[in-house]
Amino acid sequence: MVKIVEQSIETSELIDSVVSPGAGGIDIFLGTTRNTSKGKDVLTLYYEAYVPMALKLMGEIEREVRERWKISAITIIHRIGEVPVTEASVGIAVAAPHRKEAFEACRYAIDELKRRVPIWKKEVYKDGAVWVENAEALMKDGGSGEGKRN
Amino acid sequence: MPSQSILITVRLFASAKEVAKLSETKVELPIASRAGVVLDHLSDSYPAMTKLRPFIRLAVNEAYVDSDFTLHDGDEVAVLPPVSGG
Repeated sequence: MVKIVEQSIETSELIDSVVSPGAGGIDIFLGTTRNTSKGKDVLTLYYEAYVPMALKLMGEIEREVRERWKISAITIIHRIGEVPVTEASVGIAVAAPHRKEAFEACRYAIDELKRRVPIWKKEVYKDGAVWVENAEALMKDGGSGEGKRN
Repeated sequence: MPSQSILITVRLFASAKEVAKLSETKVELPIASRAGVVLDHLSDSYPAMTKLRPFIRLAVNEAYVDSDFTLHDGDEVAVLPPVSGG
């Protein structure tokens, strides 16, 4: 299941959404708002998404995960709007018969989300705000931005 | 004129939206225009877009495309700065 929400990501709901009798483990990743970025104090984060395309690409990632690993269930949730310090902007839960698959699939899902899903984060500081970009963001030439910017 | 031109919806996000002070607009283009033409238009109308342009990815109807992708009447072109979800 993939979802974009404007409210808090409830970890209990995230877990409940993947609980399965065939699963031997559930791996959870939560991306949370940190109060610093490159030496600056971050007051809060603001997220924006191209919602229909973001949902499509999150669904594409879900399909890829299911093709690559033997998992029982996966949920990918991204929050948009303001996400205050300590709160989660993204939550991924993967249930699988064995932990290796759960860990690997969860990592793949967050890495790919950060690379290609059209969602943007604005860091708000005391003295201004900046749209940031992920080091691994898919760039125009089809490669990643790693080493080119930042 | 309808057969000579196509009408495209352009959507802008994040830094692109802020720079152009525009979230959505309609653009009339010659038939068989390539997606990259949308960025030419935006850079002409909003010079501040020029700096951002090398880093913009385009999507047509919610799928990433290259700038030489051929547009059709009614297409939605999205102007996407490098993503920063997660």
